[in-house]
Amino acid sequence: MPGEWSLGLEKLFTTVSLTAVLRTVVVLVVGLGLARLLSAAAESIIGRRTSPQGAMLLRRAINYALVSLVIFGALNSLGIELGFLLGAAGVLTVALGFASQTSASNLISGLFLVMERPFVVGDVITVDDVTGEVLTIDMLSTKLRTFDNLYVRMPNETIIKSRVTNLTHFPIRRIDLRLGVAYREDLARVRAVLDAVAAANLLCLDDPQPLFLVQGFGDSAQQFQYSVWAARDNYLDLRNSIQMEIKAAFDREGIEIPFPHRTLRLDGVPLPVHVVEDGRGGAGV
Amino acid sequence: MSGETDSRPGWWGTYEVPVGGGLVWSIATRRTWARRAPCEWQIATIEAPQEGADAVVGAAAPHRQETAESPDPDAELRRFGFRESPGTLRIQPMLADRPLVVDARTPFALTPGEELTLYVGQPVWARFLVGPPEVSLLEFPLVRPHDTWFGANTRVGDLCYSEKIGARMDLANLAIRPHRAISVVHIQNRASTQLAVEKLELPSPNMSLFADGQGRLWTEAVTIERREDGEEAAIRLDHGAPAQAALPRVVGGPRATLVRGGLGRVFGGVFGRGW
Repeated sequence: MPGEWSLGLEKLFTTVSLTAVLRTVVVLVVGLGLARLLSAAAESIIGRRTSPQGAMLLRRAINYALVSLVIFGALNSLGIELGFLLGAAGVLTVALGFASQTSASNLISGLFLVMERPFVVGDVITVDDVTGEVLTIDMLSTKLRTFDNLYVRMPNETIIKSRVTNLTHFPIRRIDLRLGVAYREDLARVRAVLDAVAAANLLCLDDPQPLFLVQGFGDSAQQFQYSVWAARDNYLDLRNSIQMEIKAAFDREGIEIPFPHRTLRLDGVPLPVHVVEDGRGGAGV
Repeated sequence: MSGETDSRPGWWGTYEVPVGGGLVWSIATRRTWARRAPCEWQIATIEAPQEGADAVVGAAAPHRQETAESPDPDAELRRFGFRESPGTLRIQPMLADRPLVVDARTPFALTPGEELTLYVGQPVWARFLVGPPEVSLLEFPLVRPHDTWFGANTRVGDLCYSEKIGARMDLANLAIRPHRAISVVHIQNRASTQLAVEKLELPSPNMSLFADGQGRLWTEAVTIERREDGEEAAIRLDHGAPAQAALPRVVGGPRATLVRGGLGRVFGGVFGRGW
């Protein structure tokens, strides 16, 4: 056995001279510097014509390819036979593959994410109960920034297996307001008031037109849905402003938004309620 | 003393403003203050919320002040710092930064081989520049139009502004407003089927502005040609001001370049909506 090892080492290393070491150092320093420069240059040139995510992927691909070439070149200049090294690397890869199934799964999931493109860097997505802006899509994980400014690392495999909602994929979004008015109110009039509020709000899109949909008769209110559309960037502004304006318009028009009512009855007869003094100056029932 | 260097009518123009001086300027329901300090320019603006603000005609050319009046406390104030504030202020009219969807008011159909001319009032933005060297400080719409969406469905289309006053077939029926520019739109139906027009989309960011001798604003004429039966039409912008504008001169260039003879979905109401 020792003989075989020494034979292997002799095959791996030939004569390593000081000149070869120096040449290797030069190849590494210059090569790695060039790799970084070239990949950054490619990103800046292509970045103007493609998405930030595409530019980032391109930079990484070019960087990894160039770094691999530089390392192979450096090993070659040291006199290391690459064929033997690659053979050993193959065996090592199989061993590592068994030991790192999770990482491999995340890696493959990351490739699917890049190919399928359900979201890109900068999109706002919801995965399970986490909503945030996509910062990067890396080989093993996707990084999100939540709206309360937390940094969330989401394994790519989790994203592939979960339901992902992209909140910023389309340019416009619908805001669904679920409202209720008292039974004495005329729904046609309520609808006209809502339409006037929507028409006066400049962020509310004219087209698609607002949607009025009666949902049914609840315990205390006639329930309906009023949906308006907004540009993606104005979603939150409109969601706030239109609800404030609806409340103001209902108050102005005397339209009641009811709270839950309860009628107490005793053997079919309404329960009489008397307000009495509690002896301390306050009233009690 | 501030000095106006452009005597032609209109609310736009170039003004020399001394340190400590300013301009006050009203148009429609918007009032704007601009004042120059030794190391800064301040611009404040406020739009009075008012029903039918668009119908308000009022447009006063900037009123010069030696000692700048304080703006309304509710006005939105923007400050721009300089090592030494430049003394020339230019107010430039611009068209919208998004396409404009114009309502036909009453939908109509154009029979095969027919053509028609419509007149449209486009909303105008004001851009403030100081110099030399000239730099843009800010811009805002004089009357902010409504947002809208123009497309075959909610996935594909353009985010636009909507023009509620609508298109007119007679120029005399179009209300002339100082905060609006007149566009002449020629529609040609070269297809073999009727063209139903409910709305149409104008490429405002690609259009230029011209002022005539009476201080009215115009854009270049637009020709929309439907060549074949289908959803798309070719849109073409004429060079220069339309013939209706007397003594025109350019006062604002396009924000972007239009692809020559580009095909696109220009008409609304011809096709069913996908939502």
